[in-house]
Formats: sequence, structure tokens, C-alpha cells
Amino acid sequence: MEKKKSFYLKIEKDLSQDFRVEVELTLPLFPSSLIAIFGPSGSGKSTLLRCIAGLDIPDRGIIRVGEELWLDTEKKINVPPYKRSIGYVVQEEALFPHLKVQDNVSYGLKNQLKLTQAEARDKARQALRKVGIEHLASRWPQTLSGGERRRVALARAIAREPKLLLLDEPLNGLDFKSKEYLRQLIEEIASENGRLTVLISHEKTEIIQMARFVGIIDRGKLLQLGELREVFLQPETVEVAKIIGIENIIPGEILDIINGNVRMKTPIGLVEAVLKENMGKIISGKKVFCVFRAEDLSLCKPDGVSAPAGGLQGFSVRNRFIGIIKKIKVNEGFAQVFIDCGMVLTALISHNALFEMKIKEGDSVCSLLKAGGIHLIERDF
Amino acid sequence: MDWIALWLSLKLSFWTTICLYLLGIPLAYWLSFGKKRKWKILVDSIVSLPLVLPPTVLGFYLLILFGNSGIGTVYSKLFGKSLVFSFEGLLIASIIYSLPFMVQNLAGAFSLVDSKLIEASLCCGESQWNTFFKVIFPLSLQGFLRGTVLSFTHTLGEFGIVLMVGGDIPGKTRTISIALYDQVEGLNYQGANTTALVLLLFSFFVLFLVYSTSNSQWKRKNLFI
Amino acid sequence: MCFLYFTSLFSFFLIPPFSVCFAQSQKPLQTSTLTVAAAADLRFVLPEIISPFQTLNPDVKVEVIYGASGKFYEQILRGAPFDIFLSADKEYPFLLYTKGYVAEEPFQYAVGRLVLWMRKGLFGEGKDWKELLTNKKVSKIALANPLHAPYGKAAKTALENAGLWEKLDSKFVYGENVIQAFQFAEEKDAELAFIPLAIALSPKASKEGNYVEIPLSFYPKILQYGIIIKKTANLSIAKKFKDYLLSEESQKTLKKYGFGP
Repeated sequence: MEKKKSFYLKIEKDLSQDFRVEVELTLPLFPSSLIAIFGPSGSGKSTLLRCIAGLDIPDRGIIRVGEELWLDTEKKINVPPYKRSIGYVVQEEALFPHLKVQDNVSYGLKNQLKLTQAEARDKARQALRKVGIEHLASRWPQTLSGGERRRVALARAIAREPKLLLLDEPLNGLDFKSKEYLRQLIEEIASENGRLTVLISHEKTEIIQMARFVGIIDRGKLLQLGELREVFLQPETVEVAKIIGIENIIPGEILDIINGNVRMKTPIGLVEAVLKENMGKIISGKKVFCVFRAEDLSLCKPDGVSAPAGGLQGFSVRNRFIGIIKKIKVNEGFAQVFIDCGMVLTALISHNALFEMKIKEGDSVCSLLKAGGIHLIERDF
Repeated sequence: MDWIALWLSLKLSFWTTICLYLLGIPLAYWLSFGKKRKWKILVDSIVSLPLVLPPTVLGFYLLILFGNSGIGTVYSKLFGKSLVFSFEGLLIASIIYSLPFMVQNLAGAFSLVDSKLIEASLCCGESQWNTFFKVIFPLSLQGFLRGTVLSFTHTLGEFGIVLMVGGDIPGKTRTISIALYDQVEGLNYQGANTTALVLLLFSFFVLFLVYSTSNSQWKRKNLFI
Repeated sequence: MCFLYFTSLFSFFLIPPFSVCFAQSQKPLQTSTLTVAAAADLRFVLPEIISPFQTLNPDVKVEVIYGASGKFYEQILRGAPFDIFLSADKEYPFLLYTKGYVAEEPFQYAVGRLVLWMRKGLFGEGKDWKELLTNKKVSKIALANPLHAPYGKAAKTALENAGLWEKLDSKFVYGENVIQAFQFAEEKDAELAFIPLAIALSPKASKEGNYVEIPLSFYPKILQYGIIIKKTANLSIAKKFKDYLLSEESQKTLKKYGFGP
């Protein structure tokens, strides 16, 4: 990526004796992008964001925004937070309780953008209008609802037209309606030219809905960075697969590769997969993980669809495993079925399907898996 | 009623409070937000010493310090007069003696300010300095008020250390509490009664004002603490 | 409302500096102040000497601080800004004289007498002082601290000469100075107090109690000396005051208050 139009970050920070945040990434600044950093709580997401804002100082590292150098520990450069062009929204909103909404939003504008009082007030009004709460301008923050407070915080962050917009769990703890509204708002704001929006979240659905780029972080390390589709469909490592919530991860050994079809020996039997890019080097004898989502596993009664003896020809579904239902967990809208086929597999089916099939715990069931739904990850052991 | 002594006491309390602002605000800021924890414990202990130390101990050390060997010599060379038995000496003694009242109240109020707000201010482009005036100060008004009032009234009421360091020089170091002592010594119980009553009412009035701001509604509506 | 409240509260503390100008503009014509450190036994007699002195010298303001002579001695060594020191003994002035803190030779201005004071009706009248001290009703005896109060020292000597010092040891309570010793007895914390005759003759003491003089054979004469401090900025006024103190008129006043030869 061109230096002028990119954001580069490389930081190392010891948080405790056995926990260290170590991240390197490059992101485009133009035309605009929204990157979501996703990882479990305590994975170092917030530290990363705080380092970008300048609130935490890494032990070693470089942060460059376009041609501006914000941090270079070797050159002893550290631009303080108040001189970095950032808008930072934290989960707790951190609205100043002694200032009205309008003054919260215009806070610091005069100094930061060298504006007059009136110009700052106009800017604040504009920002409030953008987030749709201009009518709350003269209210006290304490009198607002959670969603309104979050919007004020967002308005305060964007009023200063920052190059970097940092959002720490922006939708967390809000009701559905506020979430939906705010999500669209963030997408809209993030699409403004020349702006990089970095969002951290531990909610998968939020990220899938908003982000173009996704970074997966765990125990202080950036495991994978790429476009949303790529990361979620083709995780590079088992850790990433686990973090993004892929339910079924099965070890296997490749037998042969014929016409782009990979055949493997696994604890649940023979598995066939379609060879795709991003699967690494696939040769026979190699050890891999078969990775597939619970929703890609379909169920049927073992006697309902009996395959012809001696093979699976004539079936679009290549893989068929028979097992016993260990447990059925009914959730909102769908049910999770855990089937023991030598290893426990997880399937996701609708309530309707569950009722129609009349299956219960202890029943024998047949699970079907399309060869195209399987992703392969290399393994060393 | 010894008006000169009352006037002197008010003057002493006023200047002590002013000097305590200059000294106490940076100190309290460092104690609340500084990073060197080991030093903090040390400084905190030293600042709080006057709370538990008998005033006479402090008075004794100040006498030695002000005497012919310590800063007293430097001072008398610079200004041509002695620190002992002078208003300036009394001022220094009062500052040290009332320091914990200012610093503890301020530091307490500072550390009650949510660090997220301070960070938000920094991220909004305000320097630490501006953040102090725009966020920390307005949110710790209560602590300022308490620190001010307690330093002021404590100085007004201090006795032992004033007697030791200041002697009892009318118009220079005879503060109202010493005047009261003197009135009792002179068997002038009527005068002593008036003085004591004035001091009592003053202290009560001030404390009443301060504690009335601790009222919960007040806090929520106006002090945000 | 909030704003008003705080402004009024803070402005409360701003009154002093503003009234500085006010106070200074009200100050009368330039006067010189004479600071006198006086032994506590002079508490009642000195005002009667000062007020005629001030009528004679209207441009002089005499400020008096009363206390234990030993305390003043210490303070003078540390540079206390006194002009005149009227001690209750001879020792302290001469110590200061030899140490070079004195403008001119110490002068004797009075002779003090020691008495034993008690509240009226406690013991009946006309008893011997030794009898009183050993009376069973006596639980506490007040005297000024012998370490730095001359009258305390004199009381101790008298008790030692009478052979009572060790015997009564547990009953003594020490005042910072003679006035405090008197207050102990007056406020019923002690039955007897060794005080100067000058205090026993004060209106309050003579109204509330009576006294027995300690015979002069039991303690050395309390010769009270005064000095003019070398550092004084008002040497001529201090001398004037000294002369007035030694004048016949002042001596008569002193005699009236029990400072006998």
C-alpha cells in the first residue's frame, strides 16, 4: 500500500509477565475503510485501541497515519493524545457530567480546529444533526437514555473530523432498536472519505454486519487480518476458526486428491472436500483439520434417505455420517444438535425441522455435509 | 474582643490558604494521577504527618529550622529579619500544619474524577493543563471547598505551634486563639467568653455551609460527584 | 443557584485581603510601639503604671506580653522582638546581660513576696502556712513550674527549707506560670497555691480568697530585675519607660500591689 494513503502500526507492550500485546498491521486510509478488531475479552483489543489513541504507550513500536508519525519509540517520538487527530468513543461514553450535550460535543473544538466560539457551536450542531439528536442539545447527559448517550459520544468524536475514528464496543449494551440505528450511522460515518474507522468488538454479528476488514486478535497477537469474507470463510488457523465460532473442527489425514476432490481419513469416517485456494499445500499424507460450520451440516433420519450400498454416487451431498444424538439445545429461532459420530459434531437446524423430524436425544441420526462447505487448515501434529 | 488578633488570624488563614493552593494542587494532582507509586506512599505519609504529630514536635523542629542554622539564616540574610516571632514564620508553620487538610481533600476529590473523562478530554484535543481546568477542577469543586474551608478554619484555630514559633507578639503573631489564651491567663473571663463564642460561631457557620453542600440532592444536581 | 452559592462562599475568604487597604487607611498617626515582656506577677499592677505613662507619651503604644520569665529568657535568646523584659527574678536578666543581649546594666524595679493562697472559708483564718500545707483537707497544692518560673523556684526553696518538699511531693500540681497556679486553686482543682503577693492582692483573688505570707526566712528575697534588650529599635523610649518604672509614682503603685522591700 502506498505510504501516503495508509495507516501503519507495529506495537509491542508487556501488560504483565506472561501477557504481551504484539501487533503489526497496515490498513488503507483512502477512500475509507472500516476495520473491526474481533477477539474474546481480555485479548488485548482495548490496549491496541488505547495505544492508537496515545492513552497507552507501547514499549516498542511505530504508528504512522499517512505521512504523520504519531509514535516511534526508537526515534523517541510520541505525539500526545490531544495532538492526534482521533475521535474516540468508549463503551462508558465518558460524557462530561458538568456540561450540556451541546458543550460536550463542542468540547475542545476551539483548540483543536482553531475555531471561534460560534464556529465550534455550529460544528457541534452539525454533528448532533448527523446522529439525529439535535433536539437534545441543551439537555444534561445524565438525563439521556443509553442509546442517546452513545450517540452524543459519537457526535463528539466526529465533530472534530478525525482521521481515525476509534470505537470501543460501540453497540454493546444497547437495545435492539438503538443498535440497529447506530450500526447504520457508524457505517455511514465510516464511509466518509479519507477516514479509517477502527472498531473493536467481541460480538460476531455486529462485525459481520458492518466491517469490510476484520482482524482477529487473541492473547495479544493478531492472528489474521483480511477482508470479512476471507477471514470468516477461510480461517488460516484453528485458533481463528475457534474465535470466529466455527463449531466443527475435525482432524484428518489426506488420502488422495482426484480432480480437485480431496479425500481424507478422519475419526468420523471418510470425508470428501472440494479443493479451493487458501487451503495451503494439500498433498496426500498431509495432516489437516476439516473445518465446517454447524449450519452446513444437514440432518435426516437414517432410514429416510438410505444411500445405495457401496458408494455415495448420485448424491449431491458427498459426506454422510451416522451417529447418536447426545444433546439438543433449543435456542431462539434455531436448535443446536450435538451428534456423536466418533467425534461430536454440532448441527444447526430450524425449529420447524426439529419438529418435523421428531428427533430426540438418544436417537440415531444421519448428518449430511456438502463437500464444498469444508475448509481445510494444515496441522503439524 | 481583640480585633487586631482576629484580623491577624484572618490574614494568616487567608495567606495560608492561598499558599496551600499553590503547593497543594500540584501535590494532590501528582498524588492522584502520578505514576511513581513508591514515592507516593512516602510523600503521602509525610504530608499527613501533621495530622498525628503533636504540634509541639512540629514547633520544635521549626524552631530549629528557623533558628541560627537552618533556612532562618538564609531568610534573615535575604530580608534582614528573623523568621521566628514573625508573621512569615507563622505562615510557613501554618502551611505545613494545614497541608494535609488541603492535600487530602484535593487528592480525594481528584481521584474521584473518572479517569475515562480525563482520557476523553485528552482525546478531544485538550492538553493536561486545560483538562485540569475544564474537567478535573469543576468535578472536584466539593473537594476544593472542603480543602479551602478546613485549611482556613484549621489555621484560624491553631494554637500550640503558633505559640512556639510565633511567641505571643501583639499585632505580629498574637492570633485569636492565643489572644483567647491570654485573656484566660489575665483572668479576663468575660473577654475570653466573647472571643471563644465568636470563634465557635464562626467555625460552626463555616462547617454548616460546607456540610450542607454534601446533601445528596446537591451532589446529584450541581456537583456531579 | 449553585454559582451564587459558591461565589458567596469563596468571596467570604476573600474579605481579608481587600480589607487590608481599608485597615491601613484607618491607621492613626505614626506611633512607635514598645513591646514589653513582663513576668506574670505583674499582670495586675503593670496596666496601672502603663496608663499614666501613655498619657505622658501619647505617641507611644505599649504592648505587654505576660508569661513565665524563663520562657521569655528562651525567646530572647532566639531573637524575640521585645524591647523590655521585666523578669520576676535576678538570674535571667543577668544571664542575658552576660550573653550580650542587653543594652545596659539590668535594673531592679521591685521585690516580690511569696504567699500561700486559698479560697475563702476553706480552712478558717490565722493559721500557719506549714500547718495549712499538712492539713488533711489538702489534696493538691498548686505552684508555678520551678524550672522556669521564679516564684515556683522560691516556693520550692521555701518548702525544702521547711522540710516539706519530699513529703508533699505527690500533691503538687505545676502551672505554666503563677497565674495558672492561681487558676488551679481558684477553680477548685487545688486547695492551696503558691502565688506572688501581687496576685493575691488583685481584685479577683482578694474577693474570692485569703492568703498567708511565707516568712522571708524560708526563701531568698525575690529581687525582680528588668533589662532593655540590645536589639531594640526604640532605645530612647525604652529608657523613658524604665525611668518611669523606677520613678517614685510607679514604685508607690508597685508597693500598693504588694511589691515590698
